[in-house]
Amino acid sequence: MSTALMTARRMIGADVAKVGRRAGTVVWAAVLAILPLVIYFIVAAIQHSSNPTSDRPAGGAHGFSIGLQILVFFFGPLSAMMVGVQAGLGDSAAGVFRELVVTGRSRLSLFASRIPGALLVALSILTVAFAIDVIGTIVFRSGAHDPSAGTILKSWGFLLLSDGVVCVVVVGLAAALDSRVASLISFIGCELILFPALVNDNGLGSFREVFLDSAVRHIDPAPLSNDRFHVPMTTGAVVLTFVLWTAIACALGAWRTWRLEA
Amino acid sequence: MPEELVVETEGLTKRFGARVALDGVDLSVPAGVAFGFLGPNGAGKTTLIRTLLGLTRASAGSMKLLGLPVPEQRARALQRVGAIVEEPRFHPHLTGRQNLQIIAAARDEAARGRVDGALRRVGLADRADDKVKGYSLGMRQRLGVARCLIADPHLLILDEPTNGLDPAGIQEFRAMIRGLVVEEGRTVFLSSHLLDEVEKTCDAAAIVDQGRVLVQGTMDQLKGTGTGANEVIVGVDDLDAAQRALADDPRVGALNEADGALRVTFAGDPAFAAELNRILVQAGVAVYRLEPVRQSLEQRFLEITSRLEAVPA
Repeated sequence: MSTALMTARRMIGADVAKVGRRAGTVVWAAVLAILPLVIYFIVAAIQHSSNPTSDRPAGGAHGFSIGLQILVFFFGPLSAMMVGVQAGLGDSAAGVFRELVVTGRSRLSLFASRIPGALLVALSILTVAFAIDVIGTIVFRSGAHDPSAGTILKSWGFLLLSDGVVCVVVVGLAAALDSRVASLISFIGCELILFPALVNDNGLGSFREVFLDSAVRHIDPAPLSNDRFHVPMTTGAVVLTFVLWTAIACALGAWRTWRLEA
Repeated sequence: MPEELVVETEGLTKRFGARVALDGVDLSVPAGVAFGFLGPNGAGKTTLIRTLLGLTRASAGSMKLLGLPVPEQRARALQRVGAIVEEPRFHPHLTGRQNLQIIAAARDEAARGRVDGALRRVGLADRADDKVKGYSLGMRQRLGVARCLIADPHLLILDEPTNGLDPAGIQEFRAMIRGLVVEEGRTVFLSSHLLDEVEKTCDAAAIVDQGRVLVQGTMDQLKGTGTGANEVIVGVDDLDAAQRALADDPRVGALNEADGALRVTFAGDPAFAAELNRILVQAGVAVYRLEPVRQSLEQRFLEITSRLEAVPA
């Protein structure tokens, strides 16, 4: 293995340790990803058991889709944001950024190693949450059809891709904003309120393609039949949206890290 | 053979808008010594360190670290430099060992292997697996030095390292720095506003004020190259007779009585002290003590900085 690769591996490992050993961040990220799913399955199972004719089983293919939507569009991004903000800002918030700069390591490499570090932590948490979605799907199916193995695998990939992109964007923008509070408020506001509202505004037409939410919904392998947020897009537009968001956020984060007073 | 220099600056200047923080600093720090960078608060000490380490850009001038020009070869130079700038900072939720491992990851492959040794060297091996948020200030300072040591540095740059330490902690820290220099052959560049600390810890120093290096050299040179005046304490059996014997000698300057002895000031060759003894003995005065008065760094520092204040702008 080349020296550069070994160095990159060490630095990514260090970033995983910085974020992964911060109990507050990891516990809250896990609670945000897992608890809503658990609540959904319990509530839906109670509803189904009390009125099986009007309420579908909590599990099965339909329950799996609902669990996936909860994870991909609401609480998964929140979980990824918590990890992303910590990864993007942890060094400067603790005052350790200066100590890293005086090692002689370039600022760009210090920024770059945060991205895979954050992804490894965030995607591990989301994978656990996804496993709970799958387990709930099977445990609470009550005679309903299970999703196919292919759908489950594609959905896992879909989750990792969509919330992974959110995580990377947040690492970049948090580093650019250099403020934990400003980062969390703006990301949560945009992700949960502003962007869904704009995507739902048909008057905006194809402009809605610029939102990550639109691209994510376009590649959803297990969409709900009544998804009112769906924006028609080409595959090229989907790829471009993902690439532009990550590239712009990373460029801003790298630029700020380069200029940051250490 | 020319002396090896670990820090060299020429005309180093740093401006923050209209304010000049470093004003054409020429500094030469030899290898293998504890070098004090002494000056009052706001003199430009931290700015020089930040500029050397590439944390801020110089406005003019040139500099070398370990013989390598910076910022051109900054990354290479910093591979063998450990530094604490202002107070050492750590991830509070991680242990001392984990904090060092994180910095080791950004250094060379061998750095991780030095973590345990560095912790032992600074006396933190027993607390290495405690979270840093539970460390005292003294422990953090020592952990900061351990973090420097994992680079196996030729040069350690320590910015006001004893700030906030109690007297026992200061003494311990001083001994550690001497050990790094004497036992391990490293160079320590120590900035401080504490004269006593520099005097007791360092082999050489530079005195800086208002962004300018006013004087630099070994501690003996700094203390002795003031006005050129020498002072000796002369213990005699008859003070009056001694004063009469020396009063008319043109080489003798001030002649004062203090604590039952004479304080004699004279210019020129310090060997004149022997001549003083001969004059007194010839005059029938018994001399039982002849002791040169060492000028303290504090006296020298005040002398130099007050001279600066006297220079018109």
